[in-house]
Order: sequence, then structure tokens, then C-alpha cells
Amino acid sequence: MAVSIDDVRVVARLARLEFSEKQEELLTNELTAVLEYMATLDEVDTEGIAPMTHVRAVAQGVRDDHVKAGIGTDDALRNAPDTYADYFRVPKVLGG
Amino acid sequence: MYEAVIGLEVHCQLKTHSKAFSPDSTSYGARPNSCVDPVSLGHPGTLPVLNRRVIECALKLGLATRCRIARRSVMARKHYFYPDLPKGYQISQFREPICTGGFVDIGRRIRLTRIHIEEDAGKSLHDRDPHATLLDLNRCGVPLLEIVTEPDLRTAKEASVFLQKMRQLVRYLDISDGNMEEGSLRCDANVSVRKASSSGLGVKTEIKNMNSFRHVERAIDHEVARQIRVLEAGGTVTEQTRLFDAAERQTRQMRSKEQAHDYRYFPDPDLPPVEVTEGMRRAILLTLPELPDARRHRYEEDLGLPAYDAGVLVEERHIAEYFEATHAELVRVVRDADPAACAKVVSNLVMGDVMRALKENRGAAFALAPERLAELAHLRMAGKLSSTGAQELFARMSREDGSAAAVAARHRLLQVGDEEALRPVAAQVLRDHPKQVGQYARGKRTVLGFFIGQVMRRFDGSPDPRRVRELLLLMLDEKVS
Amino acid sequence: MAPPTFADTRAALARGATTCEAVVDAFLQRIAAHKHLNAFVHVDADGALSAARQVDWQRAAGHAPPLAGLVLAVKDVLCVRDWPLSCGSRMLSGFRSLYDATAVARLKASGAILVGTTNCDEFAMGSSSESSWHGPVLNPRAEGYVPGGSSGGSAVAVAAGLCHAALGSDTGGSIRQPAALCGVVGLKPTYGRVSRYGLVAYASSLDCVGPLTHTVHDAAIVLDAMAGQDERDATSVPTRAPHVGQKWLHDACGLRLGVPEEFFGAGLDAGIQEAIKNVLDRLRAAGAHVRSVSLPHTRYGVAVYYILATAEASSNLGRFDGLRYGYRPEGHENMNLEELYARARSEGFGKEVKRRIMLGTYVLSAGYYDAYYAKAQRVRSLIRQDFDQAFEAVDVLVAPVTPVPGFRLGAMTRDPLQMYLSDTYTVTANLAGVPGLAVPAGVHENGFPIGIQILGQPFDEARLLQLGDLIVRLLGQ
Repeated sequence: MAVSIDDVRVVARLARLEFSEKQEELLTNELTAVLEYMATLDEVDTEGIAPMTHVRAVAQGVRDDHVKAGIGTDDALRNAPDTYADYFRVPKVLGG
Repeated sequence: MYEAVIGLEVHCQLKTHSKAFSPDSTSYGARPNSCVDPVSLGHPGTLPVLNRRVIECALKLGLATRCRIARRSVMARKHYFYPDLPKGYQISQFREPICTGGFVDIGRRIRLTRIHIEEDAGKSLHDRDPHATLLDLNRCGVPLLEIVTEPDLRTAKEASVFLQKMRQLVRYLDISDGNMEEGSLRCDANVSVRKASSSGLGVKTEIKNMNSFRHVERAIDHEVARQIRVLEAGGTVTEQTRLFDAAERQTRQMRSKEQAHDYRYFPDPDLPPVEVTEGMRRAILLTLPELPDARRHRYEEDLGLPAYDAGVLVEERHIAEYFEATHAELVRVVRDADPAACAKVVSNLVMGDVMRALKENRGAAFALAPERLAELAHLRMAGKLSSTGAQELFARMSREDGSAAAVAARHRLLQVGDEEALRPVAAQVLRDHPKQVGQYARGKRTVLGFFIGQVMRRFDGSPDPRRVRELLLLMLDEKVS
Repeated sequence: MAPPTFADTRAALARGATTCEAVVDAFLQRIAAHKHLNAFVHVDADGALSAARQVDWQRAAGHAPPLAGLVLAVKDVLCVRDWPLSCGSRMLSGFRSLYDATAVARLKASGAILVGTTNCDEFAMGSSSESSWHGPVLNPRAEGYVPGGSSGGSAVAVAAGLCHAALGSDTGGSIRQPAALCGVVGLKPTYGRVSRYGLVAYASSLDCVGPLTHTVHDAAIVLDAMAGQDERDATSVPTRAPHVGQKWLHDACGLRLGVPEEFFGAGLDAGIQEAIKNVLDRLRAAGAHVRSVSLPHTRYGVAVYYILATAEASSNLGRFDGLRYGYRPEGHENMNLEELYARARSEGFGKEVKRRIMLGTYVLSAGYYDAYYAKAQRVRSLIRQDFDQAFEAVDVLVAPVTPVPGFRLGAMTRDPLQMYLSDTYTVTANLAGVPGLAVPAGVHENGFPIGIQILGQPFDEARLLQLGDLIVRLLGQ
């Protein structure tokens, strides 16, 4: 599976990462090599084999609808790089 | 001629105490960023655990709309970057939703594609700070059901009716307060138009940001008109997302298909598949209330109520239940009761005094317990209360203790209906006014009103005027003949 | 003098020969003297000493907690309330955790004294502990060589005697491989045995929290204290802790050992092969039945692992965007939202993390899901079936941990695929969700430690620990 530099750019955009052109070329080669290696899976006949989405498919682990007190606004904002009053402050969202 | 083809995606916020995947509170209107915990903040290391009540809500709605319920459904991650989405993905369902199929009847059946569970994002405030967006993450993780219809709707009006039907249903099921203005019911529409004769589908656009039933109607109407204009001018509609601007009353482009998201869905490894056993399904089925359509049908057929009454009474579940409780009590206490007659008396009281009182003290409980309203209805049926008397008694009873009869007696609201009480008074009135009796004898029938007034006055206005009239006629005829 | 094991400390405390405070103080001095190893990224000396005094008071009052005297380090991917959490990344600059990871909370509640957090590969992605923003970790047993990874700091902290035990995380071998390269014990429990709540996710369907210790006994004690279902982790399993207690083995009579032939092919170092053969000979002499078994899909493990792990990682790391916490790039005041996202993530994440995010994003993106992600999940099912079938014939599997006894600092960073392939022997246990224990199995002719790995059935940690302990004793280590 050959990855093109345009593929790398589309994926970088999806992942919100930016690279120099040189890095993009390097990544193109690295991803191509890795994906070629992964293509070895094509050898495996998986007809009729269910995908293993979870290690254990038990229906455990739901919780009852009980409230536990949250951490409060001060703690919520404690790690925030920028705040305004009781809010997180981030660059203006344009469009949507 | 063109026709519109419309499908809706409805988001319904569920009425749970805690969030979909964490135990922090869902309360509305709290201090910003106070109803959060590390999970809903998306802090590193946190994990989601599904709230059992969310599954129950999904089952209620799924069963009420005759969906197929998946024995095993899968929570999936939907990825996109947005500041009020703290994890960089929304937990939702994709390939294996909990409910599929089903329908809602709006006069004809509107098919549902699916109903699935997901979590809400936070709130972005764009207009508080000119240079920045402010985030309140209280709403992060509040549970939602997304209801997706097939493109079965044909007009904006139908879309609005569907949505109102949906609102009524979720309120009946007590899974959401269905409030569009507060955002607990939200709606996106997929709209396309085609030649009325054609059966294919045109290119669709998606309209977002419609937060009232009126906006839904307006936005769709505008979008349909816009698409028709484009086609008439020889152009083509392009696939895109449009925002409804309520102030401008129009839709405007938000993003084109090229900018569409690649959500990279995959099953959430943190959440085991949701299993619904036959036992769970049956248990939920047993908790389902009688739904509005069935109830209205029963009111009309079994209780003989007019269609209008039935419609008004079933609109809200708590009112229908109040009506039924009162009616049952009345039927119990009235000897040889005619359920239909009882129904109409109670219906009149509920649609009148009861609903007026509810409206006046918004959100307050019913003014009278069903048993007390039934007492009042009983007096009314027995002819012991005039309609104005009933109204006054209702008001008095909502402020005072005591049975209906006791309160009515206290305030002399009872109509005196029996002849023994009326006859001596009427005789006295006739004796006191020989001149008028003479006029009557000479054929001046209008003096009857004068006599009725005199009798009523001596009883402080409480006797049933019809009875007084009948009795006076009888006595005058005896006298005159 | 060799640093004490927890069993030593426990005995000394019982004799009244020492106090927790003195034990902690000694470890703090050793930590200071071994700064050059770069094993720790955060040391809370005051906190540790005050916790030690508290435990001493409890002991004096006759309420000694079960783990009184245990001095513990925690890999810097586990949350400790109010401590900095960096995951070896610039991305979490300045971040302090608001809560304790469940494993940490349980150990604290049992009386463990936390001294600090240990260095690791950035977001636990790596096999060498070189990719940390805080710089590489050095191997005290093999100068110029990597300590393994990603839990390299934890392995080194134990190997150099800087604590009794350290917590690590194992997604594709990140506990077992550094344990082997540093000559200590490392346990990757069954998936679901220990809560992942508070473990910063790398690949959620593979991540496990486990201990690194000097002795198998200590590993058992730490596991018992933190195992068990957690209402905050829906994938944790309601199975009781193994509680090996005093049930250690005298011999291997009746034990059925499987030797998976796929783990002994080309590429395996002769010295390691020899060491494992030696162990098997002794176990046979101690009464074990040893037979060859096959795990035919082992060769696909690395491909499956890197598809699934990077896909999950690309998702798990989406939350790190510099908006609500963590790194904000210089000049952010003048950036629009999209610029800030891209700059914060590009400067905040290191090279290997970005490579894996790119790979994971690619395999999940529209059009490739079925070819890569769904396909890999199907092969993952087959890998688990291999284990299920093998465990019908044998109780445990014995195998090497790594193909080579170590590699030099900087040797692998340029060729990612080569580095990924070195995980061949460890990734399949994570894919199948089974437990794996690495114990020291001798010394290579070049002087480096050699590790052996015992793989067992889900929730059969007790047997792995018993066998691991027996191997250590048979080898007279």
C-alpha cells in the first residue's frame, strides 16, 4: 500500500498535526513501509471470523444513576492555561 | 411541481440524575464548569461507565415506537476536534445501534431508521468575549438519544407535527422534558426536493440550529424554496450543511461536502457492548404507560368523549392520569353510574377549572386530589351545584380542607333542589305579590321571571333556577286554573 | 549493601530494627545518588517522609496497614492526586492530576508509601525509554544500552534499588521487556484484572497496569493489593485477587508446560535460547511435563498490534490539544483555533507519538477501516484462539521476552519498523488478554540480564507467580 504525500497531508489535517515538507516526505516513506508490512495480514483467511472488538464481551460494568458530587469550578479550571471568570477561554471559534 | 423530501435527526436530552458515563450531576443552570468531574472534563486516565438508566430510556422509546431492540449494541467513538468536546471524540453508536426500525404515526407512519445512545458536548459561548470563545463544560456527558427518521416527511408542517409528536412521546415516557427552547429537544433536518412525479432523491442539504417548532417549520420552508429557486434557475443543489438564522429567517452555508468530517468511528474499547436480555426488555415493556394515541382512542370509543376533549386530555400524561383517577373515583361513588356521563362531567372540570389553575400557578401540583375533585363532580352531577357554583367551590376547596359537601355548605354554594324546601318559599312569594299573580293570570307570562328572582333571592341565589321555574309554573297554573 | 526487598523490610520492621521513615530516607538517598540514570521525573521526598511517619504511627498504635513499609514508585502515566503527570511528554507541561488512579488509591489505602513517578517513553509508546521529553533512561546493568521500555524508569528504579516496587503499564510488552533487560521481575496481569482508571490510555483494549519488583513474592503482594473490579472501569472484571499467599511450589510435578515453537525461530539470540533451554531442563527435572505447542498466528502479532494500538492511540490522544490543560505554544495569544490545535499538538508531541497518531488516523480514516482495523480485529480473534487451543493441552507457556539481550541507545530510533518487530514475543499476550510474567533467567555471556516469560490462562496469575518463583529458586538466583 503506497502512501502518497497528499495522503499524509490529509491525515495530518485530520489529526491536527503539521509537518515540514521534509517531514512529510519522511513520513510518506515510513508509513508506506509500515503499511506494506501490515499487508501481510492479507494472507490470513478471516472468512467467518468475528472481529475482536473487546477482550471480554460481558455486559458487566454499567452503573446505577446515582450522583456523586463533581469537583467544582475551581478544580475544574485548575489546569487551564487560560480562563475568564468561571469559563475556559480558548481562541475564537469561527464558522463551526 | 416540486415536492420536498425531508428526514429528521432529533436529539433528545434524557432526564437522568447523573451523566451518561460519569456520576456528576446533570442539573441545568448551575454555575459554569461546576457540574463536572475528571471524566466529563476528559482528563487523562479517565474512563466512561454507562449509566443503566440511559439504556432503560432507550428501550422505553424504542419499544414505544415499535423498534427492533438489538440484543447487543456497541458504543462507538466519533472523532472531531472542537473546543467543547474534551476527549476529541463523542461517545455514540454507529454500526450497531440499540434500536432500529420502528415508526411514529402522524396520521400516517413516519419510519424511524434508528435510535441510538450518545453523549452531549459542552457549551461554547461566542459572544461574551470579542477575542475568545468561552467554554462551559457542565453539559459534557449529559445523555442523549438520537432519533433518525427515514426521508418520509413531505412538508415543513409534517416535520413540525412529527417533532411535537416526539415531544409528547418522550414526555409521556418520562425520559425527557422535551423542551426545545432549553435545548433538551433538538432537531436537524435533511432536505431535498424533487419533481412531484419522480421517485428518486434529489441532492440533500442538512439544516442545523432550529430551536423551536416554529423555527423548524420556517427553516424547512425556506430551504425548500431556496432549492426550488436554484433548480428553476437551471442550477444544481450542492450537498452542504446550512445553519438556520432565526433573526434573519434564512439558512446560510456552514460547510460544504468537501469540508465534511471524517469521523473515524470505531467501537469504544472502554465500554463493553450493551446487552439487552429478554428479561430486561419485558420489564421495560411492563413499565410503559398507555401511549397518547391508544389513550385518545379509548376515551372516544369507551368513554364517549368528543374528539376534542380526548385530544386535550391526552396531550400530557399527568393530566390524562389525573382525569382517569378522578373519573374512576366518580364512577365508584355514583350509584348505577353511567361511565360516559361521568366522563363528560369530569372532562369539563379538568379542561376548565383544573387546567386553568395549572396554567395560573405554572408547574405547581394539581389543586385538588382526584378524590376531592370527584366529590365536586358528584355534587355537580346530582344537580346540587350550578356551573358558577362549581367554579367557586373548586377555588374554595383548593384553599380549604374538608369534603366538597362541607365546603359548599360552609359557603352556601349548594343548589336547593328538593321541592319540600322550595314549595313553602314559592307559596309565600305568590302570596306576597297578588298583583303580579293577577297579571300572570291575564296572560302576562313574563312576570314568571320576577317570581323566580324573588324565590332565588330568599334562598341566597343557590337553588337550581330550572327547578324553581318548573315549580312556579306548576303552582301558578294550579292557582290560575 | 544490596537494597532491601519488601520482604526484608517487613521482617526488619517486625523485629523493630528499623522504621518506615528510615526505610524511606534510605531510598531517597539512593534516588539522589542515582540521578544520572534519569529513572525518576518527580520525587516527593516530603510527601513520602510524612506518609512514612504516618505509617509508623499506625504501627505504633497497633493498626499497621497490610503493606506497611512498602516504598513504591509509579510510572508517569498513572495519576497521583496533586502530583505532576507528564507521560514523558511536553504536551502535559504543568499538568497536575486531580485524582488518584484506582491502582494507586488501593495501594495507598493499603499503606504503600509513594516516592515519585518514573520516566518512560512518551505516552508509553516505545521499547527503549528514549522518547521521553525528560530524556532517555539509562540501564544500570548494561552501560550504553537501553533499559527497555516503555516502563524503563520503573524497571531501573527497581533494578538500582531506588524503591521496593514500581508500577508500570504494559500495552505490548512495556512491563515485561524492560524487566527482562534490567534483570527484575515484571508482571502484566490479565486484561481486566487491575483497573485502568487513572492510567493514561495508550491503547485501551491492550493496556494493563502491573508491578515491577525484585522478587516474585513482592509482585504477588502488589498485585493482590490493587487487583479487583472497579466501578470506574467497565472493563475491569469481578474476579478476586489471586492471593498466592504462602502457597509456593516445592517442585513442578504435574505442571504441563508448553513451549510455543513460533517463539524460537530465526532472529532469537543463541544465548537467550540457551538460557531458556536451561530453565526448561531444570523444570523437567523438577517434574514438569514439557511439550512443544503451536501458536500459528504469532507472526501476525506485530502487524495486528500496531494497527490496533495506533488506531486507539490516535483516538486516545485527541484530548491533548492545549485548550483546557497542558502545553500552549509560544505566541498562542495571536493564533486562531486551528493554528493553536496544530501548533500545540505538533510541538507538544514527540516524533514517535506523532508517527503513531498518523498511522492510527490513517487506518481509521474513511475507506481504510475494513482493510486495516476490522481485518486486524479478526486476526486478533485468531491469535486469541491460538492461546485458547494451546491452553487445552498445557497449563502455561514458557518463552523468551525479547529476541536480543539488549540494544544500544539510539540504535532503533531511526528505523521504526525494526523497533516494532522487536516486540514480537510480547504483543500477542496483550492481544489475547492473557497474563504474562517476566522473571530473570540468568546472565548473558556479554553480562546482560536475560529474562524468561511465562504466559498463562486468563486470571491464572497465581500459577504464573508460583512457577516464576520456582524458576528463580531452581536457578539459585
